[in-house]
Amino acid sequence: MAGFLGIGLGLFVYIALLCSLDSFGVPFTSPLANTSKGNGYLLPPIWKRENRASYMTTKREKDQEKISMKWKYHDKKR
Amino acid sequence: MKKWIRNITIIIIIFVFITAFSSSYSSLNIDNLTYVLAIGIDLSDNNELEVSFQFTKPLPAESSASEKSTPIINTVTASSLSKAINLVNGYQPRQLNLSHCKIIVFSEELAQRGISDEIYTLINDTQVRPSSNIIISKCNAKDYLEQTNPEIENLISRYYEIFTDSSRYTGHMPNATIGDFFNSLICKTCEPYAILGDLNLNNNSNDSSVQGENNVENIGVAVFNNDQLVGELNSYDTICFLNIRNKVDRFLITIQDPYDSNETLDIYVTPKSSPKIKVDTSSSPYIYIKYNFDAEIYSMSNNSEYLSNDVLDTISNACNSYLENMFLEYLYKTSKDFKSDINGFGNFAAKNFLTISEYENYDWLNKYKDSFFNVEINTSVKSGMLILET
Amino acid sequence: MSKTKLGTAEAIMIILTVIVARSILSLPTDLLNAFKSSTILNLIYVSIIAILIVLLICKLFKKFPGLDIIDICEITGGKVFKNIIGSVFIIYFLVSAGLMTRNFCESIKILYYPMTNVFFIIALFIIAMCIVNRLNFSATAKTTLIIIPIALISILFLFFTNINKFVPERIFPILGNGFFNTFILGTTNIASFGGIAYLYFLPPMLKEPKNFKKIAIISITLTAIFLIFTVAILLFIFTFFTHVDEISPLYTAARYIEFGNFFQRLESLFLLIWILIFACYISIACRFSMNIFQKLTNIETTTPLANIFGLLVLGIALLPENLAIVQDFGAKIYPYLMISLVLISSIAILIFANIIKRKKENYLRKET
Repeated sequence: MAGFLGIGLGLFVYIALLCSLDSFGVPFTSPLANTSKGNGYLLPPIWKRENRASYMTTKREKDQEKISMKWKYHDKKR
Repeated sequence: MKKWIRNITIIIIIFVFITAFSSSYSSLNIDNLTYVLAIGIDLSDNNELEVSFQFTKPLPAESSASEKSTPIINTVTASSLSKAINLVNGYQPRQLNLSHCKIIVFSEELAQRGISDEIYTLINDTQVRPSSNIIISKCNAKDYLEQTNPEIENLISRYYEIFTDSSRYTGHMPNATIGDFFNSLICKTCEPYAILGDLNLNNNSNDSSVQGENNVENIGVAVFNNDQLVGELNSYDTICFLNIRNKVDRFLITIQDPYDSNETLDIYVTPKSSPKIKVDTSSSPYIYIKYNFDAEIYSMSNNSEYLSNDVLDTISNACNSYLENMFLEYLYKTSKDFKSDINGFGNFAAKNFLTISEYENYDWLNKYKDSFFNVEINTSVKSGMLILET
Repeated sequence: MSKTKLGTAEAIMIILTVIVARSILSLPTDLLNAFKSSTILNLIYVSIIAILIVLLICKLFKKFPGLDIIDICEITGGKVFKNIIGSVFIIYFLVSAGLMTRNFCESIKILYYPMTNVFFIIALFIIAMCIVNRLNFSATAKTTLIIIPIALISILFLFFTNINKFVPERIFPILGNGFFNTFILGTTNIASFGGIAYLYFLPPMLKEPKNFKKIAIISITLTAIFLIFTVAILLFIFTFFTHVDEISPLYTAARYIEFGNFFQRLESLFLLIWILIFACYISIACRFSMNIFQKLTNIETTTPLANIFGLLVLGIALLPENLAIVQDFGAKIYPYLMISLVLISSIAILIFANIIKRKKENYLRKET
């Protein structure tokens, strides 16, 4: 009906509707349109992320350390 | 109850919108449009415009793509371009659409009268592309359009799209667009230019000597002062013009062999970088251009040795003097004969002024005819292409 | 509660929306026609002044953590003053949104819908805006966060694809209309930084109020960079010696893009992005107006207000009779309106509030 304008405005309303939904408490567009760190178009790759995703409101923010089983390395040193 | 009302209101609103927007669609439906490929504008006997529109008949779906369809030309006489379009709209069953118009041809007499009205009308139109080419034809624009007969291309629109590509590797014809023309027209630092075209039948210009089925040839630049045609440039001048504007990748020159006065050498010259231009505006303008070229020797004859440095140096010097003469001849032609600054030196002259009012008081475009030029060219000739020595 | 709070990036994008939406319309042409070749110098000078003003605002806000300018008005002058300033801001947001909508819709009408009445095009925008404003605030904020970076990249794309048509000598003569015109009279160009108006209302909505200063500085810097890029594109492609008024100059610049035979006439892609940006701008303007209204009248939910403010914007957009009035408004009246309201009076209010608070603290200190 409204051709080009309709496509543009429809796209806009669609994106807005998507952003307002959430599934089980987590917003739908989480990694893209998140409101804290680790968001938007500039997400680092998975192996580089140090913090847990903030939209899940976890208890501990930082991820597991790289060397988690510290005793293994300590044993090797002996 | 409330949901009912809301749904019905939404449906009514949608219907209202459909009726409102549909009028725009019915006028832009592709089946009701015919696309103009080229426009030719002449001056008729009683000072009115004679406008020719060239369009193709759309091929039916069953025919193969290689079938050629002859272009149709409609001519009408009117007092302005928009009136002409209106008249043809009434004559043809479909509406004219200028979105694919690739070339606009003006005849020489019309260009000498002044074409700013038509240029403004065309630029104001939402459909015309600013990248359409503008051509000034020495013959009638209508004959130009009728005699254009591309031999290799099947579709004439394809020919119109690619025929200006030759300007990059030969330098004989500029790629003049209507957008550039309009910008230069309203600008106070340069003057507009256009492609020069002619019919090949009469052998009028001494540049054209190619015989073939296509009777139309485009060589040279049409020089304008404001919106009136004041002169034309031949192919050597066009090479200089395109070099100053930095729009040519390589071009061919023929110089006398410095070792053998009976022989000539063909050399392909490539610009190394854009030219260094300095303009001094203390009294009459003094313009200094420095240019660096790379060159390769293209022609070979018996007993020619091009590997030693002395030989290359001599040939470079011969090239330098030839090119300097060519450039100076061209520059003094634009300055003294045509009095029009199509090279855009005004942009460089503006560097010497602090405010726009000072520049306007200096009045560059009128002072251009008193200017002096100095050209310094540095060619470094590399020997040959595949064969180095015979 | 985290649903209604804004993050840092979202706040920056909201402030950027205003300048992006304005520069699609006639803002760059107005600047270039007034200052000709010295526009870029002028813009650099004005952005430095804007950053200083924003630093001043941040400092004045420090004493009132978590309060926005409406609450500060209440501290300064009581409820009457708060109502007056609130209504003035609402009128300012709605009027600028309405007139810019009219400007944009007229451009679209000329390009794509020559036979439709302008009313229907504006009505479509308003309907989309009403639907979106019925959702919660974070939906609008997240939509802006998705769309505005695309707009910034599109300007960079426009810049780099047109770079072979640039004539860099157009920046000369360097002082354009004269030193006095460029620097002294040119300070009114600070009206291009319309996003500062939204900065005043941000503090209570932020998730991390400590980042307010960072948000302010980053958004003003990005605004300045965006404006300089837009003006540079137009200055280097077209000449501005004579006064040329075009409807949408960036559209004309987008028409020049041509990559071989396949990529021609890419201007429709840009137009799609601009429609999205514009819809964002109207939604944000109305959303902020609704928030101010909620503060003034203490109502619980703002959802029914979306329809009302939408109709108001529609009414304002239909007021002018033709496009020339709207463009005149944007060039001549809007800068003075913006400077007097957003800059002078608001900073005056903040300074008064600071003085009053300091007097109260001194009084309390004397008592103890």
